[in-house]
Amino acid sequence: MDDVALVNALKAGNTNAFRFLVDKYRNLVWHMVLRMTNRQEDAEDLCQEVFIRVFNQIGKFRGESKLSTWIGSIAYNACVDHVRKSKREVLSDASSLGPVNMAASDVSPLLNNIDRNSMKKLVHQIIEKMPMQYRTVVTLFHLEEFSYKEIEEITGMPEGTVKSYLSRGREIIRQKMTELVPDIQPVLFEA
Amino acid sequence: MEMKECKEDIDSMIDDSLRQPPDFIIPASFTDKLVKKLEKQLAWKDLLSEFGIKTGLVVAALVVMLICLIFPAKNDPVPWLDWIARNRFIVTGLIGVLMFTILFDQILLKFMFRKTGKSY
Repeated sequence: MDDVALVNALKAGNTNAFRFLVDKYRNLVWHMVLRMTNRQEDAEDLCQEVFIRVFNQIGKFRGESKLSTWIGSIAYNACVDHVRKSKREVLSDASSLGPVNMAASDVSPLLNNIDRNSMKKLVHQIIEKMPMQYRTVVTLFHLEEFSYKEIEEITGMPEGTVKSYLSRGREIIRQKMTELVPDIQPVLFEA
Repeated sequence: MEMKECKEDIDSMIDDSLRQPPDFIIPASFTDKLVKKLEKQLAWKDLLSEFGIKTGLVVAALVVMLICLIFPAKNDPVPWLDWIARNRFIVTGLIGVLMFTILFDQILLKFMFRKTGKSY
């Protein structure tokens, strides 16, 4: 079923179409929610809320953007609302591209012989410690493979800001990795 | 040259890691639970609107009936209207019980014993 047919079926209130939609887009929503809230225990409820919102608001979808982008924007707004309500994190704006303070103790002790799997864990731990905007942009770009333009549509951040977050985010990861794994260079040469 | 290669290697490993999903995976029952939740919400909405329509019809019929009875009487007092005014608490209570019974019968019972798997 393509997205146009799916949207039409959803507009008609078809719950089988809803099932199809959830199966198709649940990873996108799950990844966004997990990364943005950083809390697995809230993630399932929030994901459910996102899909219920999608179903209730499907009448507003005019097909001007991709369905995935539209669902992404609903997930983004739901996560921002959730984070604001829980007051666990202060949302910074685009101007706060200052240094990110992360103590070495924030990241779990690393193995001397770092392999690809440990590398993945390390990168994910560093991402978890980043401010929400960085985590969101990094996830949307690298994991979900959205373009700059699509990330702009989802988050409402200007394209330039998205690019800044991405490059700054990568810089933070690189910097933290070399700080935390001094012996990373020889290992990398062997890889 | 070595530094450049090292940086490229780190970048490639970072790219690989960034493309990997988080370790926590979505529960397998997620879709089923969510579809059930939506069906429940839709059923609730359906029953409520059905109740609203039925209540509206009854109220409209009562209003029409009252108008038909009061207007022909004009200035003559309507004895039963007087009686209603005097016993307004009993009347209100009876209407309340009646409405609750209809609500219980039309919505709560249907909702509690609703068969799952209905496709809208």
